[in-house]
Amino acid sequence: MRSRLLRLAARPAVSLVLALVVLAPLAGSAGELPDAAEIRAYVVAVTELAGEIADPPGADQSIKAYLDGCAARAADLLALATTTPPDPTALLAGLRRVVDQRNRAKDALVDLTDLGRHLLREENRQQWPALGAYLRGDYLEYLVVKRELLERKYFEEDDPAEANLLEGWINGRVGFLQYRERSEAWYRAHGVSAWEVTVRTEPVVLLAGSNDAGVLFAGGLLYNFFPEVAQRPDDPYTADVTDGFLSKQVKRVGLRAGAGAVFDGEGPDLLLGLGLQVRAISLWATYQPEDTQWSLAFGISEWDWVKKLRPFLPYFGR
Amino acid sequence: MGKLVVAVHGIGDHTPDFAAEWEEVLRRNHPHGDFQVAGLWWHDVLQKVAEKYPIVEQQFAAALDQFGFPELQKVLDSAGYAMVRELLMDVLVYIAMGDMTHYIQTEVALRLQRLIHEAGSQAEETLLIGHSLGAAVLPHVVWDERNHIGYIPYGGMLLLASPLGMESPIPDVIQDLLGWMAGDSGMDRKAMLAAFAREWNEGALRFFNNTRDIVCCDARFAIGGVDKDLIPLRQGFNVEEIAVLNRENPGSVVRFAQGTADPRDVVNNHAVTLYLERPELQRAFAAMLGETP
Repeated sequence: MRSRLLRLAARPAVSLVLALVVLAPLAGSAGELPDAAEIRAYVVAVTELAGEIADPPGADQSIKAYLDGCAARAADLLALATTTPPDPTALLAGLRRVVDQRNRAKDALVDLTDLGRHLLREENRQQWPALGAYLRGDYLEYLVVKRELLERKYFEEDDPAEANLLEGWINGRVGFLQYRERSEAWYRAHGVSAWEVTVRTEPVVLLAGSNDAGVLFAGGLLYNFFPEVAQRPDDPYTADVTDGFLSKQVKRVGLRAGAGAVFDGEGPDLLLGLGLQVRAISLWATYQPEDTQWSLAFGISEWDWVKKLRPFLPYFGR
Repeated sequence: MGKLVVAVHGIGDHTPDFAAEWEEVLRRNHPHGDFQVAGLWWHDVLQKVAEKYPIVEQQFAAALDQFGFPELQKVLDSAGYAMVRELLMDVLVYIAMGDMTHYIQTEVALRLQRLIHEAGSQAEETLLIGHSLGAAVLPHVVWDERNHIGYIPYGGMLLLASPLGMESPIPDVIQDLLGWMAGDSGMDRKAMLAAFAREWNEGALRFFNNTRDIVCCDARFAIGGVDKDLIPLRQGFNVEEIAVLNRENPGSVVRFAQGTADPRDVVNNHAVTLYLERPELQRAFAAMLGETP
């Protein structure tokens, strides 16, 4: 190691990085994070790879800049790994930051020569895994939490089989509704938005004025209450879910608006409604323009229950 | 300890033991190979999403039928609708609804992690083989992992009839599969392919495309004496994209022609066994296993 360092230090372009690396004190292991010796070995190896490029680099300028950037970022990481007292949280954040910056730099590489491709593979496949592998646990945690929250939002409803393709498309395309890993907002948990749009047809029964039944085509904007989610200590591939009152009992609330038809003894009439939804149940304020009549209505976005009421709703559908 | 080979199926009906057929072909062609095969079954995930997001709500149609409006239910019960649903829904639920793409991809990624763990293997000793939509999900999964840990840890990847090259005619409505990988990075298709191919060691990435297969190539079929492209959008990589892949990872795109240009052979030309039996695949697989030629 010493002879490699001395040989590399003779190159002016790399001497500053190496000086920082060599002068950094040795530090102990930070648990499931790379220690100073591993980071130092990466810096030395990458600096050595950069040293294989001729000076001036000519067509290999981009890979030279990439490798120099990798060494510089790792040198910064080394500084975090050698703080006293050790700060694993800062080191983990630093490692994540290095991954992001390094990925962006890799993606921006264009027109590599054969030497450039070779050096990139050496850095990427031979050297970086010694540090990147420490983020595998972090990656697994991300998968477990993300899966559980998406499961909660889209599949653990009271009425999970009542959606349609349009609703799915909207929730996956509109910015504040869709999953966004890097986006932080008060309504997001680990990138999963608590907001959800529903576009559904729903049976309703009028509660005042008459007991007629109707159907509303309704749009809704709902807010999901998420539980706390982490990995299970005894099985890191599954989620450990801690529900609060809102996430367990209320689950989701929101406002809805719809238009449809009410079926009385004289055929269908236009029905408009504004509703408040809690879980799968909605309470509607409805209006029939033909009769200029307001009413309260009750609805569940689940069709099975209304089929059971069929004998009691003689005019429905006639 | 030998390699772990993880097989990932595509659309259609698959049982949890689907990989037995794949293993039989691989073992027959590599009798001395030191490997074990594990099937990554995800048919249930696709089904779950497809059931939640039908084109039209089934319950709604059934209730209308019961109350005297049978027309919608008749449409949903028709053979035409069943065919559309069978052919399109698995693909639509994966590519048309962004959050469901995340959900499916995450579920597959978790199952992959667990399979490797339960096999007592390591990612570096694992070879991934995907067919059809499975050969688009796999690149998505490993690219997401790469974005988190900075590299792709797997030993190799064989993608059979991958629709990854499919180009959406309406990317603002339905993003194409490469665009999904690029995410917010700003990379265009060629830059994305270059970045993906560079991540692998030489010889560790192989796309196998049958030019008679409509899923991965713009195959033309003889209809009424005229050669026609049955699908009015670009399915396969174009010449420039293939050149990018082969430049960044030599030999990474393997194209061959097998099967007839008869429209009745569309399904046969896409069969996973057709791909697994190809000599080009056997050579690539042997190299990834470390077998001497």
